[in-house]
Amino acid sequence: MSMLEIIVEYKFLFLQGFLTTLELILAIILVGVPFGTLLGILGGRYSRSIAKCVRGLKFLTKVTPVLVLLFWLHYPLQALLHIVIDPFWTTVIALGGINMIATAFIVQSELELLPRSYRDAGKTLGLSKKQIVQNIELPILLRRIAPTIGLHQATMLEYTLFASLISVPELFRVAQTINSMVYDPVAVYSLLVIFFFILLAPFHVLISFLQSRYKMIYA
Amino acid sequence: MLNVVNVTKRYCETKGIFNISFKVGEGEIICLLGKSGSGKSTLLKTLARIEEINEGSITYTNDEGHVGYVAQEYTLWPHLNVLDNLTLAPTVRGAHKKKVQQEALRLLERFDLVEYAQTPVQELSGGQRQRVAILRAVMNKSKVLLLDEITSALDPELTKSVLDLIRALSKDGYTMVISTHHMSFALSIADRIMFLKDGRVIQDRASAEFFFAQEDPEIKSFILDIAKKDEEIEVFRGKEQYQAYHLGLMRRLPCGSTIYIAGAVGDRWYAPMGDFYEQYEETRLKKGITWKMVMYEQGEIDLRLMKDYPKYNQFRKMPEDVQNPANYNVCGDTVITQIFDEEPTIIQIKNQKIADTYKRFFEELWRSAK
Repeated sequence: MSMLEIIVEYKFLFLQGFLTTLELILAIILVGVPFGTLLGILGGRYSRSIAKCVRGLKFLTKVTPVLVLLFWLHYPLQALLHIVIDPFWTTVIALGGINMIATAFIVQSELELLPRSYRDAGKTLGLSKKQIVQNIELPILLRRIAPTIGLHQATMLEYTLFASLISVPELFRVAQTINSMVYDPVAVYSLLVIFFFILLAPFHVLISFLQSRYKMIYA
Repeated sequence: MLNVVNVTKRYCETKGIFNISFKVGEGEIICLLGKSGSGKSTLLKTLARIEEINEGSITYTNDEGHVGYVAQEYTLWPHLNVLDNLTLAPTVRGAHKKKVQQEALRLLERFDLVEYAQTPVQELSGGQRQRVAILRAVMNKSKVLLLDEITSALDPELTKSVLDLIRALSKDGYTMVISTHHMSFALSIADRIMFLKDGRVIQDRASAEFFFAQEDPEIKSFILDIAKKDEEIEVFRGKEQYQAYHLGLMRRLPCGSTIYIAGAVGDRWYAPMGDFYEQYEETRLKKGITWKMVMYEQGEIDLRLMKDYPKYNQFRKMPEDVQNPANYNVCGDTVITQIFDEEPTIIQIKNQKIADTYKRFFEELWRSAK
């Protein structure tokens, strides 16, 4: 079968896989980015204990492989707690958590790096705390963190492949299923490359754009 | 303009500033000097209200709640271009954006920065950034500028452009408190020098007096240290260098020139010259170089010279009511101050503006002297 014939024949299966991957990454972003940003702001500005906690968790995620964490959440933890969680949500919890910690770490580190002199300059020029945050600190912070966080989301998208190992019917899992039916790995996995290209290319184009537009050193 | 009363900012028992009081009049320029960690930056930060004080009070007349403060580290906001850096604070505070922009452009034009109006600040050189930071403070409509070691990270060429800008602003009547390590700059601009040590002001006096009539051995050694680092200043220490300097000066000066000397005391200049004095005097008379002196005391040699060569030795006595303990010589574009310790020392400042100022001051003294 040609690649085109495979697409036509299994279009609904591919679409389902494509949509599951999209849903997965959206859920991971929605869990990771807002909560991670909040945690990072709290750690970077208001609480040293939160900052320490974020650094500790970041270290833990560095030394624990993603796949091991995913499996641990899917099998032993659920068996210990006598609960059953849908593999899709297990993946969201695992990858969303990693994403949240990474985002918190990025935000916190950037906040710690943000020179106090920018705030002081605003203060001496008669700006209020709120005006300084709105007009100076937030825009600088956003420009600094956007490319790094964007790049991390692309990595998270790649990590969704691990969900196939706990039976989430995402793109890779679908590709494996189709291959077991058509026995044409070259065509099937080439299609997988194309699909991931479609998913990842916009991410990386956006990141490159952000990096070139907001290429900013602290002046 | 600024009244500081018993201000204390304590970081710990020994760190901070303690019990500092002083007043700054309108248009007055004060330079803060002192070793690293002496409390200069802390004092400026408390004046700028960046640091809360523990005790005392700081009052500004005509206070609108903000002053112009520029720190040694670059403080321009990196997400904005030059023009936006200048206009952000006034527009956020409610000023009309277009008017503020026009004003900012006029200011940039005056200081040759208008071509950079739309340039992102990280594309500017260090000197340009500091000049923009100063202009941003000027845009704030405050007549008080607090400048903290703003040239410490710049090379000499860029430093000059920043210092020239401050000199220009000083003529506009800005009141300034400046922390600096540039002796020639402090001499050319400051009305007063405040010397800080361990968070306390240990001297507060007129700049010429501070540099040229310093009695405190520790401050004297500090002055020599900063003088050595100054591009426009050269220090000559010891008898040999002292003699060589004066002989060299005689050879360098054009025929018929005049050395203006203020605040000399008796014959103490001649002793370190030793046997070389005769050679010096011979060259001087041959080239027709005049000594024009306003002195505290006239020594025997001075009196003899006045008698033998009155044309080249014009001496007057300092009026008793004049308080000018500074001892300095001016010739051409050079100001020289001499320290007559066991090891005689000459500090030479090569700066036309400083020389002109001191020459004007000398002429006033000459007129009031007998």
